[in-house]
Amino acid sequence: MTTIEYVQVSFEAITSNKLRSTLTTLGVTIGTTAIVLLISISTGASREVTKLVEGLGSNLYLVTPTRPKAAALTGVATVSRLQAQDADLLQKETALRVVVSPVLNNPAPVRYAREVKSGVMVSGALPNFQDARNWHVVQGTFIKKHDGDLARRVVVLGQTVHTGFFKDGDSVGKEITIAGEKFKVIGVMEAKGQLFDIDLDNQVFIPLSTAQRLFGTTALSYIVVGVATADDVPAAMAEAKRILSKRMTPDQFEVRSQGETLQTVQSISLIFTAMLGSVAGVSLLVGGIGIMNIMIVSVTERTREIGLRKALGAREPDVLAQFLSEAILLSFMGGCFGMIFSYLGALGISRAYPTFAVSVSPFAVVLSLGFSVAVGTFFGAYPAYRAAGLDPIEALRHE
Amino acid sequence: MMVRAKDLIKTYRLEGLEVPALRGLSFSVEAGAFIAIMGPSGCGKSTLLNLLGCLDRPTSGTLEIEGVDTSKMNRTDLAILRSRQIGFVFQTFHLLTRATALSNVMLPFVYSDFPKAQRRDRAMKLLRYVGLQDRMRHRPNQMSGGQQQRVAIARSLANDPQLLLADEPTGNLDSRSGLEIMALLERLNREGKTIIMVTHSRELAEHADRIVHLLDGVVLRDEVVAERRSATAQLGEQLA
Repeated sequence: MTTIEYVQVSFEAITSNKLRSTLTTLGVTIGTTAIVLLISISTGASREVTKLVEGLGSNLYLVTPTRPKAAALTGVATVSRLQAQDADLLQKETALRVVVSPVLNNPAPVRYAREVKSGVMVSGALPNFQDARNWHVVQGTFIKKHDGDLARRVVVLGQTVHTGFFKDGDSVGKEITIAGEKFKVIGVMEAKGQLFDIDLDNQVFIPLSTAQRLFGTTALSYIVVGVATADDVPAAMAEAKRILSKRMTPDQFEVRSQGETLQTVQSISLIFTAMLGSVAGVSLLVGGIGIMNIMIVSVTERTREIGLRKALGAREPDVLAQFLSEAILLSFMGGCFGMIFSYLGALGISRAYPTFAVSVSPFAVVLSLGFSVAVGTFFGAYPAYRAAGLDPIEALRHE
Repeated sequence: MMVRAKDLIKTYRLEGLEVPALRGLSFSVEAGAFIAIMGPSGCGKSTLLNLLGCLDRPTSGTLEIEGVDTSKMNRTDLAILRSRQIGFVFQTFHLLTRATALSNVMLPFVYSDFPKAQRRDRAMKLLRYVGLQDRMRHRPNQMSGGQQQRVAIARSLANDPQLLLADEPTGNLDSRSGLEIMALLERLNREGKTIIMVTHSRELAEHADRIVHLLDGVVLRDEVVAERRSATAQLGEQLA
């Protein structure tokens, strides 16, 4: 008997009981779907994280005020202890070559002509922000020192705001209204893209002094510190902790590098991977047991057929191969259904989160189809072995 | 000599007890013979047929089929022997219900080295031979019992074996269909096939040229049929 004949015979057997076969493949379908989505999502996530690190720069760290847990839950903003003098202190006392740039963030409505965008992040920044954050203007200029000294009402637009208001791309020199005050556009920032759900480009920059007046606070949202090289970041962070501890208790501020953010994101994605991985594992196991169960039923139902085939000259390996190929085909079909579902799933996720590009990788497809074949082989082995071992006389007499 | 059985002993173990089914049975069948095996239940008919069909091995004794001793063969060699040299006809037909007559007849090819390109033609030829040229695409449930048994006979001829083993071939058929099957077996015998048939019916046994009577696992009597019945002739009378 050739392989093709085995597949044909198996296919006939499987399709002769469509509902049962479909239900049997369900476990493998779920399992392989989970594997493909798992790989697709985690590669998508790691791509996002890589983009994030590249975007934010690995040679910088952030100083943020500690957010009390209660505030994090309720969303009520608390008064930040972080002040401009902390930034000054950091810059003055450092032994390393660093660029210390304090930032004051506040969401506010922004208007141009009749169009209003609410929830735009308005960031009060210093001229050195570009270097510290490694984020530069593509049009016009960034905030200059005298803009800050005079607390001028000038603004540099993020790409989303820029393209949202100015369809013709010509924004420099125009006037927009931020929190009720008129600001002159002096530049446009390069695109930074999105980070999961946060659009980094939906942001505008105004002089820090202007922001302090506009929002009536001197408290900083964060201080971004640019370090010469990524290797210096740990040392610089240790230094920052030491310096800032002179003014604040250690529980009032946090010093975080992108590496740590990366670790956080990675640990989240690891949890996610573990979760989907166990779903995949459990469904494949259950699916495999389901296949084994149905194959045992099938062998019992077809005992007479097995007896007949043996009487007609089928050797034990023939019968073994026939039932094994049936189990493998059944499982493989489950795998194929899984590919369809995971493709739809990936499509659905991509639709729901456009920034989160989930694509089904060929590697994932090959891997999970391989898994489905392995499951079929493993769980089909015992029923096939049982079929092959049947005594032809007994089998023919079976009712 | 087609079959030569010498001192065949077969014992089964049932719940620790040794149950003898054959107790030193000897007999032989010449090539081209038509033998009927008769005997009451438990006389060892089925056991003998299973041994002749190489579905089982004797506990002791020798069994030669076409000059080859099968009593010491392993299961794989027995399977090969079955596919090449023996054709089975069962009381309950044993057709694959979801396959057509043609597919059923082609089933044995799967386990022999019969050339692929010729399988379909050979199967169609055999179905025509048994008179089912109009039923090739029918499934068993679309056919009468007699037709089903004819498909089974065509299947038994697939690999052109010299020995046909028939176990109560007409047991599930009405008398008319049974007679037609007997006529078919007679024709096959005339054309050179050796046939060994197990039956309960004296009347059917008289279609053979020899009746082997079994009792308690040995040959009680080996009877040459003086006046053979002819199913072909009987069918002719019925028609007339």
